[in-house]
Amino acid sequence: MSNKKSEINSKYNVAGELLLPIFGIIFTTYYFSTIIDSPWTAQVNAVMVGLILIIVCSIFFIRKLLEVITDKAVFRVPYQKLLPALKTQQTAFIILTIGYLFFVEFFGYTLATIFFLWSSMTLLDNGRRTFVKLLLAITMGAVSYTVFILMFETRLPKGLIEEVLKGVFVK
Amino acid sequence: MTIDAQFFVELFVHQLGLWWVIIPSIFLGLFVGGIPGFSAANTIIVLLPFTFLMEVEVGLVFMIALYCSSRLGAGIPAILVNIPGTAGAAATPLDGYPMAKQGLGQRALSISFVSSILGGLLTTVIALMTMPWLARVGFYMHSVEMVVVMLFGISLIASVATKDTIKGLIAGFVGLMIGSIGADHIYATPRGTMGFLELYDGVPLIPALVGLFAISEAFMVIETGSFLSKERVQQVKNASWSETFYGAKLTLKRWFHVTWTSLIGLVIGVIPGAGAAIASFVAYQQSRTFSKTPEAYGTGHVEGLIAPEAANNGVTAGTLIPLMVLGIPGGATAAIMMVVMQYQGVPTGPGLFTERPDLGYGVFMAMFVTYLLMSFTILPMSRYMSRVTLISTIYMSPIIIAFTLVGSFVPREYMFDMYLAFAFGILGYIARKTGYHVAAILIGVILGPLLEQYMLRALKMSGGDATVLFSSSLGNALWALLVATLVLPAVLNYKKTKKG
Repeated sequence: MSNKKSEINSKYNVAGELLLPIFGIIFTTYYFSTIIDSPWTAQVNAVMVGLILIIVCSIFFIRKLLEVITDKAVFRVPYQKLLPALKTQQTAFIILTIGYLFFVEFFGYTLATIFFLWSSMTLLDNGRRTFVKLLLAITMGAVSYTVFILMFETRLPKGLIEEVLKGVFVK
Repeated sequence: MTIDAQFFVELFVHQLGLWWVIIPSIFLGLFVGGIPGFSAANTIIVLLPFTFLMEVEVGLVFMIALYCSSRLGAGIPAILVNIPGTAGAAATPLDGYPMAKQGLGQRALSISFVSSILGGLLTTVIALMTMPWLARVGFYMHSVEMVVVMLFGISLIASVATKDTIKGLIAGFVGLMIGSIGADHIYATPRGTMGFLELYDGVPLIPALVGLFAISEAFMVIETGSFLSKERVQQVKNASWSETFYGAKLTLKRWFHVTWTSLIGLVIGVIPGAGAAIASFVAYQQSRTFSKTPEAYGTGHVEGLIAPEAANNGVTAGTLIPLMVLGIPGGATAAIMMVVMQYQGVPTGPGLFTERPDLGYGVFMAMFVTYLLMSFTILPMSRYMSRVTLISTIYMSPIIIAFTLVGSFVPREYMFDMYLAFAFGILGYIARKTGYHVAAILIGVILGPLLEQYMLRALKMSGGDATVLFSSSLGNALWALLVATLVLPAVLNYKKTKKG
């Protein structure tokens, strides 16, 4: 029983490879739905590209199906691996990145950048040398404020730091 | 004023005297070229008030030096951390990054710098000699011919995924579908925009580039904790100056390869609206097709790095030719230069060479001097730049994300573009984890809208008659060349296996 299980585990799993083609087909179907009533000029390119994509994906699905049928590969969603995968530093880092995107709008670019850099560096280093990372984050925040906001006058979202520094640098 | 050898010698000496403008501009260009979203064009726009205050000649030299060095600068993060600074450097990491991963970052940078400098010098000289004739290329390249040029670039999709062609095709066509988002080119009907007004102009390139390369790479390298393995780290630490010289030697030995790939860049650069991205993809594809070792491409092959770098630096001289000779800007930077020239009362087009030949020829001479000075200023830096790969991903990943997200914001200043870059990052991460090539997706996103634009224009003008695509002699010659480049490798491979 355990031998059979380990044999299945060692086989190459096709599930992950199907994600991009499935996304491609779903997106193409949605795209087609937006051009049904459009003039031919809006349809010609998408129909050509979309049909080729569907054909290529179909060939790919058939190939993968044959691999599974002939026992060269397996198709399974590794549920038991999903939860541990979600608990990794990588997932936390991705969540921090999403948080950064939201915080930029609410707290301004500089403060959000300092917080993001400090928290993500601390996370990735398992909480070691937090103060050094804070100093580094503040330095990077100052550099990016100088380059992007002062020098290039980019209209990045403004917050507390930008408002305070505006009084210092902008007359 | 007589245009003879003495005139050019005097011009050269005069431009060399402007080193105090050129050298700082080179370093500024390297910096802005290396950050995705920042480019020579938007830096020049920011510094436009200063250029108006400068003497016209100094202002032009400043812009030229910045333009040339930003092209070269875009290749540095592409090689070291797999993040192209601009779309023009999108083909550079295909072989540059694998080389850096092998601990050969210094050599890769040296190859990139020498091929860029040689390509730039060569195309500048050719541009100086053949300007009036080269300027006409734009007249012969109509929509029909451009469709074939785009297909040359798109055919690279199959080449980048040598391990599994069908997966390469899926990635490429997903990219082409994503590239089709936006209003159609004739009636402005919105297509596939998911209700986002920000997508009506199509998918912006920088967020796609940032997401597919930079953000997905930042997520990937966390798993390993370092860009390099322990042995490679030691190799990079022990690397001496000889690595730089060896990289330069490898490139100089392949002088013919540099020559013809930079010429591809020059010719494509002359065509208004085409650009460095198309040139570098076409050059890479052609280089691979005619290589004796096509299977080595994508694994850190010297010629695979030379081709896109020489080509995208060949484009710089090409884009200036229509501006100087005809008064038609060939790209964004050339358009800004035109504004500066007009503001200063300098004529553009044929009048420039009769009224102010010192400026007309001077622009190209400034380019020549810039590339010459780059060999002394940038090449020695390759040793120190390659050390970037030694920095732990604990620091690099967050910094990459923070800086490149700003880069994706800069061109249009929409918060939406930062979210879009993140979405592309997730797409790129999934693609990498499941064995798809992100470069294939990007080729589709970049070249798809251009292909559609040229094809629609051709079809619209012919009243929807598809045979128009085979109606011109030049177009047909290009079709034959395209078929030959696609079929020839397969035939040669078949012959080889039959012999073996």
